Amino acid sequence: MKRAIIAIAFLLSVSGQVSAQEKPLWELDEVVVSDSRLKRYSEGHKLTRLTDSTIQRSGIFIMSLLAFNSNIYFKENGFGMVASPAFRGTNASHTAVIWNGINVNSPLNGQVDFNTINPINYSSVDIRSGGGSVQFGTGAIGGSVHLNNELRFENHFDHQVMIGYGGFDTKKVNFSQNFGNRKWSHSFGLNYTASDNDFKYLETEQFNQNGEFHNITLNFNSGYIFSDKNVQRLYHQSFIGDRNLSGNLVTQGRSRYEDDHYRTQLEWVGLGKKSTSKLKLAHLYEGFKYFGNKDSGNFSKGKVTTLLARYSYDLELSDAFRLNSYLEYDHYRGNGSSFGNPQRNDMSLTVLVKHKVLKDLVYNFGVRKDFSSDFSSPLVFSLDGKYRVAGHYGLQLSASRNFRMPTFNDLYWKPGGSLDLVPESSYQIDLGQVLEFGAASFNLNGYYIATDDMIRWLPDTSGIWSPSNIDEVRIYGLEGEFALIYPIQKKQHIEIKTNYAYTVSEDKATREQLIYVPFHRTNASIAYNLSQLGLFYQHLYNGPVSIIGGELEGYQVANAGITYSPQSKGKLQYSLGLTLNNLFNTYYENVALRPMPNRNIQTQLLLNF
Amino acid sequence: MRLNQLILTTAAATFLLIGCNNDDGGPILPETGTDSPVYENGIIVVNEGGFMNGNASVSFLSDDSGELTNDIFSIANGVDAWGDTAQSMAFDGETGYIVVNGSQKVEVVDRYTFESMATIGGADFTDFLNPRYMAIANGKGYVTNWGDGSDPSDDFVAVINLETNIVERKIPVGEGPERLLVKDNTLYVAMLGGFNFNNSVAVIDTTSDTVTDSIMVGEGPNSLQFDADGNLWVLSGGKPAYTEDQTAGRLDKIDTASNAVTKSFSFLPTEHPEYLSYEDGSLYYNVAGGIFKMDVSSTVLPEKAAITGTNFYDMAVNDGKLYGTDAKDFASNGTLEIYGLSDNFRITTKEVGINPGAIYFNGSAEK
Repeated sequence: MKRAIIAIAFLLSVSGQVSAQEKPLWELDEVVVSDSRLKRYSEGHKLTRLTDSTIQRSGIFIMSLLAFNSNIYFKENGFGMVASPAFRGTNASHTAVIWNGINVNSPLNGQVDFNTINPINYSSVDIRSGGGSVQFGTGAIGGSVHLNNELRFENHFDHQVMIGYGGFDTKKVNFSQNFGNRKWSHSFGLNYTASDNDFKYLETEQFNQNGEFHNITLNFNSGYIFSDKNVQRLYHQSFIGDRNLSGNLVTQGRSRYEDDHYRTQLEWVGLGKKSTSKLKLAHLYEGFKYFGNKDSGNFSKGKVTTLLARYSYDLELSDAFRLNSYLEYDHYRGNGSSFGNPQRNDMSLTVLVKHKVLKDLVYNFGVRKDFSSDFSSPLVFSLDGKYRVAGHYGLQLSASRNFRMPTFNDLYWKPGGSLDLVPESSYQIDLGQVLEFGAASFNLNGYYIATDDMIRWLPDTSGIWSPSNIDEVRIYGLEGEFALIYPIQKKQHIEIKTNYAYTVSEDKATREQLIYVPFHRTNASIAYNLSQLGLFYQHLYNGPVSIIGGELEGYQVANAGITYSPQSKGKLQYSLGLTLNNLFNTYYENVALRPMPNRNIQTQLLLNF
Repeated sequence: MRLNQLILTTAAATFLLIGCNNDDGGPILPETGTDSPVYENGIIVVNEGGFMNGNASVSFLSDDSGELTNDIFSIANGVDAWGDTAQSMAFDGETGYIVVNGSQKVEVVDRYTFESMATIGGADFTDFLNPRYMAIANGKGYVTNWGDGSDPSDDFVAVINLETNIVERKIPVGEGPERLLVKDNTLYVAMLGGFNFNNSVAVIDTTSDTVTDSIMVGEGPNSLQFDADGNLWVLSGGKPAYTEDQTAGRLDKIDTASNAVTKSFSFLPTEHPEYLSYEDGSLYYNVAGGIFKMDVSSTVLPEKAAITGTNFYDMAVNDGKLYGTDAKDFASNGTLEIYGLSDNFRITTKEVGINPGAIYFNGSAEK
């Protein structure tokens, strides 16, 4: 568990100072991970990394991992149903999800359903707070969530089998394999998750009807070092999901939603003495079928294929300056019941410059311009930097302009879609302070985000809904994060992490807080390890939120768990885990009229060999 | 709820673009014997609320005091969230029936106190499936149901035994039965078309509960009225532009003795009229925010709107006044607007609930 959650801002400064030539090839960032920009050009941003022990403690989907371990607030349309984030008070399409360096937000609605990502087969999940459109493209306004697969080029051949079973007939099976030597590395993960999801609504006689779901996730990643100049990598991820959409307290569920996501990228890396060039080709597919009546053959459907080509060039100009530029081409091709067969071509050009002014002062400046066949995009920029004021105290500052492209639905929906839209544009500034004392670190961030031209759908006089760039939103807030990883004795250690967020997200015209954005939100987790025994407790407080025509009460919910991992002599190691979700059996609604699960037990057996 | 709005909000609800309302559980049994307020001599507005938001409500505007009360069902029954997408109402003596589309149920209430008397359906989809409108005929209740909106073969009219409040029969009909009117023991059901388009009026004999005739009218019949001579007038919207197969709206006059269309008025291809109302020999309808008045004896459609600039989600005429609801942005409270028909000026505007979609007139409670 020592690799667990650390506020890595300080570690970055250390790794940033080691020049490329001093590290062996197979440890270089350029070789091991795809998303090296995340570390190299983001010093002014708060970056939180969640790694395997934290991931394994979380529930089925990435939503629960982030809900309990980050400042991101989620709306979940019933347990296991569509989950969308509000990162720093922004809306669901203002959080970019970056899978090994590629933006995978849906071209259809600009969002990622955080209940369609199973985090278990990723090496780490990074949360980068604040705008990042220059580097990560559309939607990186509140922040971005990065799913990373690290390739280990050292001799290993490991397998893991995880079997879980628990309340509401929830079944999880996961197999993963990791192989590597100094030339070749691959990882493979296959996951099946299913649940009847038919819990009783506390305080009522009703059950969660029509909530069953199952899904399959496949991850495959590999890398090959051809020479000390050439590396090739391949990443693939498939998600095949099938859900019934549950009813709520006043409606019955009858519908069903199938969605498939296939993502593949191939990357060539050319390593020079002072430069790195990369060529990335990617194919992204997403498709859905919506059955108003799950038992009937009638459905509406939609799909989009994205082809991406990106060339990037990174050059160390001098000890003080570093340059990164990339050119990207995206081709989108859609087909759907409600939007016909649209196609679109986008290009973008990005330039990033890093300047190390002093040993303790570094900043990055970036600009990006997108060109689209269907609309004109703004020039966006970013400036971020970090200054270590004193040994234990550092300052981070970032300012950026960011954007969100109109989605397929906004542009092409029939009726109503409009080609007159422009991308939403947002300015923001973020000041962070970091205090670090040995095992403890403390972050405090204050930010301001002004988003104009926000797209909103409104009906016209003939009742046709159509989008236009009319909403303006102002967001400001404060975030605190405290982390402590403390080894008490040789065989004992304790890990504490808390997050708090105060968020004001106002419609500029009405001066009212947007719906589904809590003013206050906090979570805390504590994990304690004593030799073979591990204990953890997670707690979440979510303040009241305003909703259409009213207010939804705040809630507190907690999970606790225990793991037993005896040491055995052979290669086979096993671990038993038991988690109590909703420990205090609290009635709560995350989205109005949708009660969340009552207390339930989930068990897990982990075999490593 | 209109077709394209329904499709959009279905998509929106799936992706949480639209928020939701309320936080508490299902209905609680009403307290009886209390001094409930009496909602008589006034206007009832049924507010759909947001689709899948569970925030349906009923508003009442008193003619006597001019006072508007929102959420009268919630107040009368001590409940918070009680229904999703309240579509319409029907009345039978002292009893009111609220057709709640999203909750697949009919709430039976005391017409003047709105205290709940019974709930029909709701637990599952066995009684109703997308219920729309209700009428009382031959001592029975008739509720139109779209079934699955895009399935042309599962539409029906549910027949309720009003003594037992049990759905006793389902009369299969064509695609998308919408509003319905009663004359003697005969029902006239406008076959709007659900998610598709239909173009007929189904005639149902309520003694045998069978469909006895089908009258061809314009495309998308959305409203109907009887005139003083007993003729049935049916207004059809035609296919709107977004279908990319735009057709003109049409007004048909039907002789109910022979079920024959005796007169047809065609609108321009870009005109899609709705909300047919009738009072004292005049028909009223809405085309893109303009309110037109037409004498039943007229041989042509009126050229000039009597009132312009409205944005109605439903409309009704009563006692020399025109009542229209404006749903605004469909996410915040709408309004009820009242115009005097002598001078066509607006008399008042009152804030009602979210998505006000149906207007009714309540008389005096007979105590």
